[in-house]
Amino acid sequence: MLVEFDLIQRAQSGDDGAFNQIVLAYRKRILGTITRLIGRPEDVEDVGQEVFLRLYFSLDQLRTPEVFEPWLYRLTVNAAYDYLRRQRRRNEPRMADLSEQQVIMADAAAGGELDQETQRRTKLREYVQELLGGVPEQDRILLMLKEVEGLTLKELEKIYKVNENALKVRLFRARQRVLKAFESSQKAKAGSAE
Amino acid sequence: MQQQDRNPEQELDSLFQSYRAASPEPEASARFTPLLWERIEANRSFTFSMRRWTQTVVTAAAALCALMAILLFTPREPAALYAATYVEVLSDAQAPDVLAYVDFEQGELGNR
Repeated sequence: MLVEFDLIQRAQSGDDGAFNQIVLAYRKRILGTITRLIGRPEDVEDVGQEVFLRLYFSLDQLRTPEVFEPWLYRLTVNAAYDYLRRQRRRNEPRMADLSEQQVIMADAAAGGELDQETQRRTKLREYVQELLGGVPEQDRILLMLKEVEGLTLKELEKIYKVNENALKVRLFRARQRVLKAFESSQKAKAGSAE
Repeated sequence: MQQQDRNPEQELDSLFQSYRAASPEPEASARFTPLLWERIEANRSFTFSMRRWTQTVVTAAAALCALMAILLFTPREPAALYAATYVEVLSDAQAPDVLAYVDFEQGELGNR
């Protein structure tokens, strides 16, 4: 944990300064996770604030220190999932769904202003998000928490309150779908190279 | 030969790791925390208002129930009208000739 449980207890008893310190300690990690889950940089702070808002009003439900981080991750997953569902309801087509930053970057890239490394990173992120596009949102988030965020099955068990075997099955299925899409894209690339 | 050496599972693992490395760790803007507290305050005021409104409604409903209970269970003098039985009320209400049997002439019914 990044903070002492004493700080959390003080926040629970209404010490807003203590809650502020919790936000400062976890902000970067949570925003990083949200960035990788939702893929739209301009909405990351809004979703991040939603996470901490929910944390503020649910702090009194925490009893022991061990559950704090899984609980915070749970709130992050729920907020990201709610965001993705709202986006889907707005029917924004994935391929045409360029965020403002992506549009700016596309313009800059066209003008040769972006360095190669930035372009490479952007293409890589878009490629992975495309591969993950075929997986249902809940499973996509689960897979990213495991494969990208590096959470263990035990940690995921605490977050999802589902037993390890059930998680393994869902992860396996989600990963197989991504693997299939990955292999197809590799074959297509190899075919076009020839 | 190169195709056979490829392990797609390992390549996918490597891709996920590269994705992690390629994703920026964003720094929060200066407005992040102030905006968060604005949202917390807005939520608090809304919750406080809802709680007060709910308490008012519940109190009013409880008072109304108590009043209705008092009105329903307060003993009253029975009305004179309701002291009689149902038959007595009917017989008092109707004129005697209406309740009298109508005697049919023997011929009217076709009796022989």
